[in-house]
Amino acid sequence: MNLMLVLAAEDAGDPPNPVIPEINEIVWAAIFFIALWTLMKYVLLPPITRAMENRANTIQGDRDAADAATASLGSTRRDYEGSLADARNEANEIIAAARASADERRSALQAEADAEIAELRRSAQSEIDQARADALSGMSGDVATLAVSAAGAVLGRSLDAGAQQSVIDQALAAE
Amino acid sequence: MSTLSQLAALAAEADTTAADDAKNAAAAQGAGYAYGLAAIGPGIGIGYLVGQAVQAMARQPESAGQVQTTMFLGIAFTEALALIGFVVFILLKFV
Amino acid sequence: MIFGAVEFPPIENVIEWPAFFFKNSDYFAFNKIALIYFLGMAIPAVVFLLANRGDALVPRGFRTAAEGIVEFVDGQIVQAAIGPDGRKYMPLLTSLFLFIFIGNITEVIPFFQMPGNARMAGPLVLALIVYVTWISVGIKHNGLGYIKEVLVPPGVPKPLYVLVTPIEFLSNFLIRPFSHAVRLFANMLAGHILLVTFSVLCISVFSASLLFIVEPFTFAGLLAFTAFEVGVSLIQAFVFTILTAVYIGMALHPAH
Repeated sequence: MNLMLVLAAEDAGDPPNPVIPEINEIVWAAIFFIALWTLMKYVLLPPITRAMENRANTIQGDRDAADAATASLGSTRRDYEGSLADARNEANEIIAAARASADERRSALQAEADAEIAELRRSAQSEIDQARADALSGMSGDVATLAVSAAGAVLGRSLDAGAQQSVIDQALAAE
Repeated sequence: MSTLSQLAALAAEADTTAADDAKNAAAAQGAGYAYGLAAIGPGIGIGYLVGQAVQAMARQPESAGQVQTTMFLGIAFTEALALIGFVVFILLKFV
Repeated sequence: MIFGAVEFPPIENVIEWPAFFFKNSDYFAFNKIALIYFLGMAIPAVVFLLANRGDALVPRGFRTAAEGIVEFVDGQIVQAAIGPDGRKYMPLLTSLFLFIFIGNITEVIPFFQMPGNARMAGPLVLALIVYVTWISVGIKHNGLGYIKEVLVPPGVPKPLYVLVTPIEFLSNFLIRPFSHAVRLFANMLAGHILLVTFSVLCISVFSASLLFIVEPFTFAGLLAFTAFEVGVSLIQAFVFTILTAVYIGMALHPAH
């Protein structure tokens, strides 16, 4: 298939070759493509690439800021945890002091109460002893008289009260 | 115009139509062979190429993008032969 | 007729279009193909202009589309085939990709149903522009020695240059632009003829009384090939653009 022959045939008015380009289509394709290329180069593409670069920079900046914020967050958290631990220690100390003073106070009160009880017990004991001594001394006289009179009545005669008394006293003492 | 010359003209016309028909039939046959033969090599080639590319992508999935781009390039180069066969087909069949 | 008849229309009825403007001019007759090339310029221009208004920090609408295209061309084509110094060819490559894609996709768009690139004019113009571009890039970056470097590649035994130089000349300076144009043209023409064939088959089968039962299959085939051609449109635009990038990259860095 000779190109010159084909072109000659086309000039003669035969059906055009589907592979050979038409001159008007070449012209329009060249005009529109070169127009698009020029527009793309000077009008359409620069703003978009600039915007994309700006956005990439902004995102990078924001990411750096976020990293910095994360770092400062770490130090803030450490500070906070430190102060929290301090406060906890202080509270523990206060509680311990309160507990100590309460213990102290309780033991003091207890000691006082113990002392009072001991005092009361001691006085009660002495009263009891006193009463017993009184009762003993009172009872020995009455018992001697009763026994002498009872014995006198039994023997039918009046016994020497003085001699009997000493015998009874001896008996009581021996008892 | 005499009857004889009319007959002669008719006979000549019939001869040219027959010759055109024979030529068209030969062209159609040639077009079929041209495209059929032109499609064999690229068919085998593209099959082999894509098979190897798939194997490469399966072995190293992380390089799939690179392999894919190269695969398309290879297909484009291989396919050119079949497409030239197709153009020959168009030229034989329709011109 | 029981089986109907499949009459393929003459090829010029399928790919030649009458002019609507400048009907008498040989050079400026404006037909459907020229309208498709016009849309190939106008649609990207309008999308990018709409994308460029307003707040740029949060992309939405047209801006998302435009940025997606720019990112695709940058990542898949420029970085893959040229490298970081290929950024200055972004306008050419983006224009090529969009112009070719719109010229191809009209193949399946109703009322057009004709790929603009199925006429040799578009691919030829684009391939010539690319041819001029890569040769001038090579000469600009490597001096006139670039041509010598391509024709007489270093590291070949001396007697072999008798063979190598003509082959390199043919493959680089003659076959390369030709195959670059023909690859796109023939793909789109083949796809167009495929779709026309299936449409003609559908109509013939529809009007044939007995063969009407195979209509669902032919129609399903037409639909499947239409979907296939959408993919072909995208891949051919991508392949043309990435080949351009490869040629420019080879001209920029001839060593590898």
